[in-house]
Amino acid sequence: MVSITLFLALGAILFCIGLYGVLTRRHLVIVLACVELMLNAVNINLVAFSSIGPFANVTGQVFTLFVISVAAAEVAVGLAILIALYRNRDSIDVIKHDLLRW
Amino acid sequence: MSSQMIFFLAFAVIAIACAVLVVKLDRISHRIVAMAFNFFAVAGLYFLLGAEFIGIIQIIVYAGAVTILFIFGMMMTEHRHITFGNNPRRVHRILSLLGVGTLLGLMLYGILNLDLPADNEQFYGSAEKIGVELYGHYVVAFIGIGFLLTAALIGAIVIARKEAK
Amino acid sequence: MIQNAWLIPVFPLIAFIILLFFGRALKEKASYVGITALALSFILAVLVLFERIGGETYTYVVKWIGFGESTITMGYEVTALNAMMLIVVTVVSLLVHIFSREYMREDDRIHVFYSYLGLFSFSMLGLVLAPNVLQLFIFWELVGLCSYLLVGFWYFKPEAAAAAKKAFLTTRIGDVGLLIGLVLLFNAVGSFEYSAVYSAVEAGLVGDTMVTIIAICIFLGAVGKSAQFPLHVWLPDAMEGPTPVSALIHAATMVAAGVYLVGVMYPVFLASSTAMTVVAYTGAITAIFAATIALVNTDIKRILAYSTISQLGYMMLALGTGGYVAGLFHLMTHAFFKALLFLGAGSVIFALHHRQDIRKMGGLWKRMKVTSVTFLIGALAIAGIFPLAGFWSKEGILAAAWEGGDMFLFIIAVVTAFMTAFYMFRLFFKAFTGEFRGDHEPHENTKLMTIPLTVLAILAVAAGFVNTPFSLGLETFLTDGLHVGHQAHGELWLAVLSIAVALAGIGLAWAMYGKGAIREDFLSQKVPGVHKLLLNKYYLDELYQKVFVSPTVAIGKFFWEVDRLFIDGIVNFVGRATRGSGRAFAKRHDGQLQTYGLVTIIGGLVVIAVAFVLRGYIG
Repeated sequence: MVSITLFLALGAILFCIGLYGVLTRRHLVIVLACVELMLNAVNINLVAFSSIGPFANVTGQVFTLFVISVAAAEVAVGLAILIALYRNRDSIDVIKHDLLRW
Repeated sequence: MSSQMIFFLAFAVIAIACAVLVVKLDRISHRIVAMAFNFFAVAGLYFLLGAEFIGIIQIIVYAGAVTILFIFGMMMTEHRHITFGNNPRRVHRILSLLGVGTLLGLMLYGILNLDLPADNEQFYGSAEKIGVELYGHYVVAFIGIGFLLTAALIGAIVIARKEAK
Repeated sequence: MIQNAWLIPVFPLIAFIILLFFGRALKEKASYVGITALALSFILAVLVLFERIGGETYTYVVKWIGFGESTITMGYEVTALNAMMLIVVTVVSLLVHIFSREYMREDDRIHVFYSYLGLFSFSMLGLVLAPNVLQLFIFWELVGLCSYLLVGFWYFKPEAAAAAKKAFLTTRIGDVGLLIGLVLLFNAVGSFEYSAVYSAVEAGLVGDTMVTIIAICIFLGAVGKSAQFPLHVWLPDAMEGPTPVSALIHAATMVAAGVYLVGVMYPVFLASSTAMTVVAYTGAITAIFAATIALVNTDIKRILAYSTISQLGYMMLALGTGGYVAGLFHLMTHAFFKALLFLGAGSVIFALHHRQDIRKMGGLWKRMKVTSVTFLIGALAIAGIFPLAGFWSKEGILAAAWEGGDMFLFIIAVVTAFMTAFYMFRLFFKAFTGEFRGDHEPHENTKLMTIPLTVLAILAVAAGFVNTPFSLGLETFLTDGLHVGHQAHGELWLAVLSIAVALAGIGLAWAMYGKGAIREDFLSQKVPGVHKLLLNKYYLDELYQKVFVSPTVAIGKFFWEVDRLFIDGIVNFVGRATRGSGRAFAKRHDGQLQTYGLVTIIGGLVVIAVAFVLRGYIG
């Protein structure tokens, strides 16, 4: 069996790639996509612990289901906001959306 | 090297490569395709871990629904002019790389130094077991998720529809 | 009935509360509320007095605060002195309430006036009923507050506002002395109760020096309240208030509270001959000092104010020379005839449309019959003509001064009696006889004004008979159960001397202002320096201004500058620094979500790094 450490390392790597994308990409759709990558990385951790962790049981997989549902809801609402934003401000560039300014 | 290890490495490499592509590719549509492949690779990892139900859900929800949603989102917004002109934030990108790199370094340092007992008995999460747990122990949370999804559904419609003149 | 004595001050308090909430709606009907309350108080006070005459002192106290072995109580007490004071206060207050109905008729704020009067009556009656010195002090300050409010009732007049402030601040000087005295007393005796204080002092439990200090401190409070020299300056200025207020507060009741205080604390004073001497001399100096000023003043109310100061000095003189009953007896009779004189003056002023200069009066006898007759009775009473009230009480004071053995004090008392007769009849002849010199023909006022005058005139005639050398009713009543020493009684020659002196004063006044045999400007022609000195009230106001007020104001200004430059400077600096840094950091708040995210992550990393280093995971 593959060691759990490798799964955890993989999750960390995916998480950091997603985070880097969130911090630097300027297209809002891609920022949202990167958020999904981060959520996926977390799910890998959960399922890995659930299957081959020290106290392997079903809880981690149930929580993965919850995370997936929340992610789905988030994507739906996030894209809706994004479309409304694009319609009103005619731009999809993160830098141009700076209304939360001082 | 066991076959499981081979599969793991293959999926891991695909997942990481697709993730990098999501961040680095030029065209939005290509990025979304890369994202879909990333989801597939992760689903493969779930099968490898013996969590078939989650893997199937991953393919249905993520690789299917979410990806399609993203494509819609892409199509309804600006996706041809993928360049926004010169990026004025060089320092920001360098700092982001450094910050995220440090974070990754710390996490890997922590993970590799973990003293976890090896060779645990593997748990196979069948749909039955998940169902019993979900409708038993977590039924309140399950209903809550139902409400959340309903609210998200209505909210998304309300937000995204054209405002009546 | 005596158990219900606590209701006496409660009626005016209820009136005050009613007027506080509904006064605006009631308008001039407010007066009925006040009059009803005072009438109830008066009836109750009479019943209480009758019950007290046949009975015992009644005391009711409840524990208020306890600490250690000491307890402070609240309650009420009906002693002989209290019962007498209750009558005096309720009678005068009731009559003033009735009189004001007409006097204040045209004032828009008549309901406010009546609510203040109610509050004052409550406070004064509470002061009188107090069973311990602390409670007395509380009401003492309350009457001071009411005095302030009523003197400044016409606050839109700058003089009235200034006079109110002056009255408040000047009496405060005395009140500080009183408070110190009370604290020392509590320290020495361990109780505020009158009875405990009496027995402790009489048993000699308090050291000689301590008793003297306590007595003099308490006397300081009386000096402020009763307008004794040198704190008398506020009382003449307090005449800026409405005349009924002057009659009630600044002639009959509140200013007499100082005398009452000395009376109530009499055993403490008796225990110290020094304190007695101080009281006697302060009273004597005040009596003659104020009388001389009254000789030349031309404002009808101010003459009466100086007369009040002088008469209060007389009472102090009596108390200081051992004439406990004489002083308090004079307090009572004075309350009646001085209230009469003030209300008479109010009647004149009202008829003359608020002109107070006696040079602009004259000939009122024909025009205002009732006012004139009652005023004459009041003037005869204060001059001490047999058989009016002033005669009996003044004779008692002269007897006390004579038996006190100090010739100087006795001579001052006699001279003051002469001056009193002179200035009162100077006022009378100037204002009521001769030709009318004003510009507005006066008429007699309505019954609402003349009835109180008549009642007070009857009292000014009759009040003296409660304590004549032939039947010492009041003396037996007041001294029963108290150790206040031997009480002097006048002999026949003293009565003759007293009447002769009074007649001489009246005669001189008649010669100067009635018949014109002696020129009116006699004094100002012969000794202009003295006349000018008297006219300017010995320049005491100017002296106080230079010595006390100006330096105090200067110090105040100095500290204000310190506050403005230094303390405000620090506060402002803190404020500016905060605002400046806020402005600087606001620039970093640029609306870029990704920047926020980055900063969050870097911050988190720093926290993790610090935690790692501190826990020793790294390095």
